[in-house]
Amino acid sequence: MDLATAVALSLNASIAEKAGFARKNYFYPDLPKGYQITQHAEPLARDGHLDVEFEGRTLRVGILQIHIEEDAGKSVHAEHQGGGASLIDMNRCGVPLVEIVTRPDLRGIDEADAFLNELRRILVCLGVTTGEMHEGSLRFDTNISVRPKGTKELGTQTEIKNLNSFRAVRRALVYEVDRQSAVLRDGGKVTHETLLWDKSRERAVPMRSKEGASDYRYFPEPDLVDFEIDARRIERVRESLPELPAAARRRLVEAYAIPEYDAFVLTAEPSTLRLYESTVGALLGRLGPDAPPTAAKTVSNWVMVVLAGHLNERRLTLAELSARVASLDTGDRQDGAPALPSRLADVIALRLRGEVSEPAARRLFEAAMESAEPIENLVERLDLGAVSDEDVVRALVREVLAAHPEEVARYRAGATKLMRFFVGQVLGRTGGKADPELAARILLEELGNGGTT
Amino acid sequence: MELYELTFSQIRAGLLEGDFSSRELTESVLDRVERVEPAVSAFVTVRERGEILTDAEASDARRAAGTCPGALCGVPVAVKDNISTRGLATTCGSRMLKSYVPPYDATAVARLRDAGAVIVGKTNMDEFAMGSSNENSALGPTRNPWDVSRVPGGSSGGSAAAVAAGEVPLALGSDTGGSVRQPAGFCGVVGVKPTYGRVSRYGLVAFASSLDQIGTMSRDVAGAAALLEVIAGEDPRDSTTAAEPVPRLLPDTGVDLTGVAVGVPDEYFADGLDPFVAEKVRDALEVIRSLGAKVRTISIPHLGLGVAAYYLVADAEASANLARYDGVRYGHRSDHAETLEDLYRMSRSEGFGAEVKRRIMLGTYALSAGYYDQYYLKAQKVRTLLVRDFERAFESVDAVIAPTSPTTAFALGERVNDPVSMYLSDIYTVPVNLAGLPALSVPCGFAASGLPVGLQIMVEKFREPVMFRVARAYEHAAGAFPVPSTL
Amino acid sequence: MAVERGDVEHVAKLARLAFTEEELVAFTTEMNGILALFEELKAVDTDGVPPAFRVLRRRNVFRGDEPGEMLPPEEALANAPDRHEDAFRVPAVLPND
Repeated sequence: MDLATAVALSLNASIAEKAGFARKNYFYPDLPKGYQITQHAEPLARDGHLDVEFEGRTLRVGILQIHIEEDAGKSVHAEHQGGGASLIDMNRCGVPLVEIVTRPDLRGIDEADAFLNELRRILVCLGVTTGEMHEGSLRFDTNISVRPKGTKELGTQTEIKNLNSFRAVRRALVYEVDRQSAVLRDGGKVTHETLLWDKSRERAVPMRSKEGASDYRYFPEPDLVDFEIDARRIERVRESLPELPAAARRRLVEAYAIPEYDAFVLTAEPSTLRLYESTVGALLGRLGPDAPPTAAKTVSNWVMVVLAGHLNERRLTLAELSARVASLDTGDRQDGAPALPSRLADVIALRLRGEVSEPAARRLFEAAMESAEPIENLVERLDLGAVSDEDVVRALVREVLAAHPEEVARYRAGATKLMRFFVGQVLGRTGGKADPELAARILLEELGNGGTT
Repeated sequence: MELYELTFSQIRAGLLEGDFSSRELTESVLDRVERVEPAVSAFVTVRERGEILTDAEASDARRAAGTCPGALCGVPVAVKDNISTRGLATTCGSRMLKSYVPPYDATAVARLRDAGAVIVGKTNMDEFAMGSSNENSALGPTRNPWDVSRVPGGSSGGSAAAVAAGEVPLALGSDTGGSVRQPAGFCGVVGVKPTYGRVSRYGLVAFASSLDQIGTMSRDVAGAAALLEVIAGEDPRDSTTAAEPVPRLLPDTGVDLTGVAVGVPDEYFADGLDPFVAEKVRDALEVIRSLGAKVRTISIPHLGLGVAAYYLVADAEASANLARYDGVRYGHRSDHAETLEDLYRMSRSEGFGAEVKRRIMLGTYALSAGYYDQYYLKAQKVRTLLVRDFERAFESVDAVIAPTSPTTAFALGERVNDPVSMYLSDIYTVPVNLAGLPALSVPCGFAASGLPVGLQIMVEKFREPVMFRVARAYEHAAGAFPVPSTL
Repeated sequence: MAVERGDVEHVAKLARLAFTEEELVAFTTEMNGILALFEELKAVDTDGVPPAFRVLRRRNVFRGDEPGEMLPPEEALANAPDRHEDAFRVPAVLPND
């Protein structure tokens, strides 16, 4: 009830004073009681909306109602049994779920996609769902109708169920728009019906009818008492609401001067946002007044590129990596940040101080995810310290130029693109530890003084 | 006197004093079961003798060790076959559940076990508790121990007959529209329907969720009260259980009724009441008056509408509650079904008996589009009128007393093909269920036919102690009912 | 208003009950008999009377959002007429096309 109230508040809906449950009667093998406990006449909340940023404008999607009901089981069509049987897994039965019903305000597949993504971000942020569609923790049923260009009246809609990924939603909507349009073009009529999306065959098939809508025989559920939702309860939930993604995005752009795109990615999951902010905090603590104004953007790059790549390669979730790094932690950190952001800040701080090169910083990051060694020890043990001694770099530059007289000649004849080649050669001789900028500066100097070689 | 003939009060004293052991008592009871079951058929399942005696011995050991958990320790109890018992078949008197074995105990049964009661077996009933004669059991009818050509009443007819015949001193029943009180009246035992919410319905196979309550039966008032004390109380598994603490139900107030105001509704003595029943009830009221109670006439104006409102509400809820019997997870599955729709229709049609189908059809109809307002909603509004009738009555009286049923036990086959007359025989018991009130039936003598008559005592919600006080005072004055000597 | 055979058939369909021809005819008559018993309710004035769906005055019964005792799959499936591993098996839900 509290989670559903949080959803209602986040979607600007009016919460009812009295919420009652009813039985919706129909036979289906995944419905073990032969009725579903749901809210019919007295839903928890009505009349809300969600504002979605879409192609540079704000799209307001109306919410008709928000109600609580029990989940049913899961039917699996048993292909291996010759297709003649279905298997019913009852484990999900009776688990409460929140259903959110929108008004017909979405005018296209991209709008629908933007809305569903924003809704998912909010629900995940509220802790109402993990948002994992393939696990059934979040499900969308879509209602869609088409109409000839220029007409106002909405056409007859069909409902599509069994959509268990965002991709499936898109595919199903495309399929159904095409199908309905073809029906209308041929002078036919769209039948109001419920379809099941068959993702392997990429088509929607009519669902075996449960009952006609008027045959559900709703009546108040006698096994449950009435619920009165008092103002105190609503206030308690309101006070515990987290910052919602839209507000977090605005705040990140303002506070950290990062691009909107970055803010969008970093607020997609509450755990990512927490990681980002902890890392920025820990990093600024380490750098003090020397911190460059772009430090927050550097962290954003690291989170979106390096960390995301690390998770992707190892097929880890952020929570799993956080737990692993925390388990290695020796607990002698002073910054008060959790282990993962603290480690990440260590690496980025060294990089920003120029103590390690970019490639070395990445190798250092990988090592820091696997070990609790103090970061300086890691740098030393893995020999990742930047080669920043000008004399050393200059000696290497001279070696490189001596070894490649042809390229030097071509460069001097105007093939300045070869600078990248020379820098690469210098870095190669240091195992990536030399600062590329330093190498380039010295290369320019050496290439400039004619025939000293 | 044999041990099986003892009332609960005598058993409690005897076990306390060490006059006999639970094992001795249980053996006497089991011998009695063996002797009378061929004539009475009160039980659907009797547990294996060795297992029952092991339980009895365990309670004797606890008693000897001083770790007896209460008054029910070592006392044999029968359980109606719609109350779930882990590992023990629970058929609801239906072909549908003929081989169903619950994987869990009802809360009431778990509390019985915790209290050390010795569970003897499961008693026969009208299928899914739908009936007033026990003739709707798929396993054959139970017979009235006072006259085996007559019905024991229903739907808890097996429990009532078992207690009356001395097969067990205590039993659990369930009361949706009189299913404990009416058979208690027909069989001459005490039967209690507690306040709605007093006893958890968790594990009671649902018939009509807003009306069902598990009730208790005994040959004396003390037994019915003691059994209720054990099973009553809030249960997190049933959110409709009451948070009210369970008081001592049978206070030691003696047998004087001074200060108790009793109301007798005119409407319960109208046409249709058997004159022999009326006479016995009036005699009992005289006894109650002589004990110090003030008896006055009151009115329950909407009594006559109770049966219609009751059957609409009960059948509507039942039509949903019985939808779970679909042949998918448990219960009867038709051997002949090829499609899913066939599976539903054939399993249900083969598994349910005629009365159950009738009720499902009526309930489905009453909820269906176009009839909801006219039937179901109207019945729920009339229900409010009955609630108000009783609220008004209890402004001036502590207890309302009336006959339990308009007649004594009728003959087997007499009404089974006439549903309307069968339904009308519940006229005096259904109002209490609609209003959620507690009520009790206590035997008040024999009619000229030699059959027992029941006196019904109804009180306000959660005032069971008043009900037990009046009943015990009357019982003390009139004398406890015997076990029939004819069996 | 009398119940007709078509009504009985529709209700039987909703309730997933099958009746033979004879049963349908008999049941239509019987149902009209029982509904006549309910006719007396119509005459009662219930204007402004609220329905008494729940007679208990209790409100807002909550419990902690914690997992309870679980029934092991073997016990949960012990009464199954037909099963496959940890699932109940039924004739195909989807039309076989």
